[in-house]
Amino acid sequence: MREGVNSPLLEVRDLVKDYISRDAKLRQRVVRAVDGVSFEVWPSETFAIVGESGSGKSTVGRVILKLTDATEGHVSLLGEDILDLGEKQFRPMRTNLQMVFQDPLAAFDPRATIRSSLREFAEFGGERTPAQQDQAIEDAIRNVGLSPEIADRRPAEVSGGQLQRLSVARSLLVEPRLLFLDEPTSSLDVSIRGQIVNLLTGLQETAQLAYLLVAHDLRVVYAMAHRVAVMYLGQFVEIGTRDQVYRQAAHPYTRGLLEAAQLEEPGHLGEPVRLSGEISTDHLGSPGCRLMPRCPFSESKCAEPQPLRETRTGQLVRCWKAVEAPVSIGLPEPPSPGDRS
Amino acid sequence: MTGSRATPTMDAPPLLDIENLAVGFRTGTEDASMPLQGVNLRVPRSSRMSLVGESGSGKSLTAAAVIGMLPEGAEILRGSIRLDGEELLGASKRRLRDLRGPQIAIMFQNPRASLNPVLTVGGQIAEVIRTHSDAGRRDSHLRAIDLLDQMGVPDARRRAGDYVHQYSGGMAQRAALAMALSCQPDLLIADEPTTGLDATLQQQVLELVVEQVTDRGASLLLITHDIAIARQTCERTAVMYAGRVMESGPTASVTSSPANPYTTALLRAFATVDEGRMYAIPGTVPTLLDPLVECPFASRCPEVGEECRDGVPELRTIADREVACVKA
Amino acid sequence: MTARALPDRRTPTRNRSGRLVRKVFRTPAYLSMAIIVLVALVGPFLVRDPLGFLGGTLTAPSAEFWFGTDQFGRDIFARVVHAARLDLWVGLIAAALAVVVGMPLGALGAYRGGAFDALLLRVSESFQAFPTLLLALGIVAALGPSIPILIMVIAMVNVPVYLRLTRSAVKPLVDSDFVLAARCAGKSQATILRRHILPNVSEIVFAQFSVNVAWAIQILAALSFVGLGVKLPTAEWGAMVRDGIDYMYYGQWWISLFPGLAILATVLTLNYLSDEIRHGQRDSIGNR
Repeated sequence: MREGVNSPLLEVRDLVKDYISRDAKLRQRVVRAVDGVSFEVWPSETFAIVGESGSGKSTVGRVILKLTDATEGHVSLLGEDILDLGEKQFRPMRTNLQMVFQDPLAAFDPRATIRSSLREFAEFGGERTPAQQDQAIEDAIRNVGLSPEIADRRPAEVSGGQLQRLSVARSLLVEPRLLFLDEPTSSLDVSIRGQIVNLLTGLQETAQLAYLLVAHDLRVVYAMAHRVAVMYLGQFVEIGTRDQVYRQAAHPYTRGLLEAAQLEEPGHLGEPVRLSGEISTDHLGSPGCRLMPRCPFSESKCAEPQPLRETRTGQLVRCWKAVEAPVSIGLPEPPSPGDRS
Repeated sequence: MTGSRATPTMDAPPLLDIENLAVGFRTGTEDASMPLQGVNLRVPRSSRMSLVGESGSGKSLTAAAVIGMLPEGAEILRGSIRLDGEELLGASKRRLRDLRGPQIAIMFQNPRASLNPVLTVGGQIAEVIRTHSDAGRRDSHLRAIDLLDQMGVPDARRRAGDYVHQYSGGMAQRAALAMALSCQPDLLIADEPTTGLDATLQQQVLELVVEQVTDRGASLLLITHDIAIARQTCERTAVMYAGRVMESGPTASVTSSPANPYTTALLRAFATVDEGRMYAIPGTVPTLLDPLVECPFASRCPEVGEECRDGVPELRTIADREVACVKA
Repeated sequence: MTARALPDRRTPTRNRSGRLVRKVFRTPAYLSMAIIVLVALVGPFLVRDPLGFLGGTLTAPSAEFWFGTDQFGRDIFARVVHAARLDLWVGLIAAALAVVVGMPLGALGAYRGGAFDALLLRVSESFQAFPTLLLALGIVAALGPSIPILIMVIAMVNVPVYLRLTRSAVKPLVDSDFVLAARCAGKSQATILRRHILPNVSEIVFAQFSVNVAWAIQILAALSFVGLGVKLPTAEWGAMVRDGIDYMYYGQWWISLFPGLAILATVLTLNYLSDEIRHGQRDSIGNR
């Protein structure tokens, strides 16, 4: 969190999102994709949510952008509660909040030229004259390191990396305060992922943007995030500053993810954790720890409800063992009082 | 055959020997291109080799050529693919069919692509076993269940009767591996076998593949875009770019002291970095419409010189590996 | 290899009309359609009077009368050519009416969802539960045959086809990323439908349109065949086939054969055209 900022841009409290599906026998089945998620995003901050597919991390962003309805909870943007607003009332507020999609090719109308896709954003709010829109589009394209001639092409005629830059350019045309980045690099080749990451971090500095980053690539998150939340089956299981989560991860799931990512840097605390099995919506409704069936350290007490508890200042963990018996899950002895890291 | 070019690490003739393989798509149409520009790759017996490259490098197309399943419109322009000394290019369809299973098997990124959705998982594995052996119905089913069990499918007897859509992603990939290994192939080609899986699952599946291939004394050709996966699983690595092998050799030395600037750049792109900056290779992968006339990496290479523009560099043996770079 | 291995190869096509002309000559379906349309447009000015008595009755095809003459001594070639205009017109207008009504309704249903969508579906299902031809027969029998009524009836039985087709094409687009992006740009539902959704389903609908013109021609011919179509002596393919049927037994095969072949050729051409449109669409969007 930066200095001189005293209120968050975005505040999310106890957010719940249910999907109702029907099984083969047409029985209703409620899937709670997001289950009581709370966090805030501060100006100029990157808050990242990491997790596997099926963890519900993308749904959080979509609810915040009101692209899908929330079931319960509160979301306030710049101090105003937005969940109860209708689409028409919320529409003017959309200038504050934009999104960059995972697959840039899907995010652009295949029939429209880049220019007309960008114009939709440039004309938002109706404050720019057509000539100003043209200028704004040209500036936006240059701003992401491309040359304006690309505007006359169609999405299929532009490479994935360039198109993702254009997707960023497009969302910045409305001058938002917060950008929801939904796996912004995962459809791109490894050799050019860095281009998008560097572009985004550069823009954050110049345009004072806040990012809500959803990703599973831990290297991208490490490069971009200030704070990180780890999500598993609809719940945050660990939240902390980037270094806390990467270097002092306490939750077995976080450690399993770090272990699987085989990062060269930075090293993390404790013994390596190997998770068995795989994420399954069957464990969704469980009142206790949802990782229990996969966790090497699980015991009967894990079936009891697990609240998020503080282990270090600003670091919350949803695992009683991490707080009460860290040694039993392969973590070093807790730091003695006054020895905060 | 390979005697004149044998590298120090390989004394026996390799199991798979791909020489100067070029593949193009029909000329004269809008899709005309030449995605493989002369690939040289050797997989020794009982070894694990990874083929690393970005999308468009031609790694999957190389695998498709080996199993004789090139996409429509693709044609072999030149080169040879020998499996155990037998030339596969030009072999009859019937011969290729006989080879697939007992000699070469493949598993894909999407396990559901290799399993038939309307047959039970156990039933189709048993069918493959019957096709390539004289096992009876009962015997083949028992072997199918046994295979699923070896691949770590819990309660294999019951799960063998399920359909693939009833399997989770990780289980389906285990079943696909059981299918691929059902006829004891000498060579298993795994094309991005874990790309669709979550991180915590990737490791489990990779370890299983390595363990099973090693136990059977078979060879593995693992195709991946992720250098970290190559490092975890294979003793040898070949790096592909723009339809050519840029560097190949023992994984440890290729990844710790790369000899080709492209390998160096790819490794840097994989490194974890701090402070909001990640390394990216400038520019984009070249479009392979025509035969290359210079080093394909020349336009993006930080160490490019005049000599890089004089023709396409051939793979040369340098110490423990082969490198296609005039500066190496 | 992945679909985006060669990203920069497709350059924008500027010369669209030139490409279309070349395409017409390269593709049999387009060429054949062009010939049929040309015959319908210009043909009637070049051939004999379709209603006039022009010499012997029931003369076999000859150098003078290419398709022979009928029992009233009318030139069958002239009648087939004249009927081409009528049949194509009725087919086109009826199919166009069906599109104009069915497409927006289907799109709206898919986009809105809920009770409105369900109602539309039930209504169109109940229409489709009747055999099309029987339904058309009943209505024409009740209202009396005339060209406007025929067009209305044929259009009406085709509305559910477009409604459902558009609905199923729009449904996956409603949650597509580029539509969500337009919502992020503050666009209203109506704007999104008009700018993003309808243009992206238009080719699917257009391919169906071609099939439907053929279908409309078949319905018209069938109604005429049972005597509920156009009034005699207007030249219409179905009616002409009906006229000649009795003479088939006596060896005067040409009266029914040539209009029958005209129906066959037109219907086949329109169906192939539909396939071509669909292919063209796949190519232009690329392998995504």
